Amino acid sequence: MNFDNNGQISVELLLLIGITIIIVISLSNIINTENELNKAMISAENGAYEGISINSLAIYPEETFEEYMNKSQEQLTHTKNIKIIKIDKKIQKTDKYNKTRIQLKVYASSPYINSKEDKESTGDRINYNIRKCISESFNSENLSNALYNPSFTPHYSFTTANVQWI
Amino acid sequence: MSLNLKDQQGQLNIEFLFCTLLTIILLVTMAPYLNQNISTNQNIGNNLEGREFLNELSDKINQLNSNSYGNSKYITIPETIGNYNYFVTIRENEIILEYDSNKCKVKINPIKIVDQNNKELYEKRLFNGGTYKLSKKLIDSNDSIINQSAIEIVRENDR
Repeated sequence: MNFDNNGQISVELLLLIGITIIIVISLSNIINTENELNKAMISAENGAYEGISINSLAIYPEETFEEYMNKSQEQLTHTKNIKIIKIDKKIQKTDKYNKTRIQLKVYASSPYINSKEDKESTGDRINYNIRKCISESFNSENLSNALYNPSFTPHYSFTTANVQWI
Repeated sequence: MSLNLKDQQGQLNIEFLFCTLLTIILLVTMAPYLNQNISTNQNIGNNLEGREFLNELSDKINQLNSNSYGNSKYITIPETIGNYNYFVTIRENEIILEYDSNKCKVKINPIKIVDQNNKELYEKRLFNGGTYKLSKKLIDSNDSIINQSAIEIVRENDR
């Protein structure tokens, strides 16, 4: 009796595992693609926050720091408050690498960044960090150029539009 | 004995193996993402640590600057910033921090920097882990007929 019960449980378990595996395999493609997009978007957010931390704490690579000091962009070497409003994604056509192209656009605001040059420099750094984070999350740094533009995931390629300052 | 027990043990083992396998699969697939996430947080943490240290140092120098002549203050600066060696350059109106090929600065209230012989310095470098004595002084400046405020910065070991 006991033996039978044990046998029954094993069969049920095997059945459940079997059904689960079949469902997982049949849905894996969709799950994988969706999961990939989610991971990429979370990486993009991480990158944006890293970019903002560099800009707002005003800790730059040596060359950039000197460039700002010499190019009358000294304002950027002071700490400032920057806020990300949102990150939009725009799904575009399939590109030449047969990946779906997605353009990300960051909306940000800062009362301390006023000139066009300062907005461009700050925005470029935010965008660079977004692309870098996506590439690093998917180990695809070698597939792209030094600026990670575009950054690749297995099914998508990400580009960034100029940051919209509000 | 224990066909029952043996079976139960078998089940437990299969569940355990299944869970371990799932955990390994999850870890392997998530590894680059987790690694990148940790690295982002570390970078943000290092930047925060650097900026916090710089602000603290500038506060101390500004405080000393606002005190009367003869006042002094000891500062011990940390060994590392985010596991990186660093140095700080103090100039008449700014402090610059350099570490891991990064650079940042903070403005301070203008004050001359002098050595132990009251000789004016363009800049004074502080290196990681050192204890420094900062004293406010009044010096004869070549630039002005009025005596000027200055801060003498001396590393404790050099004294």
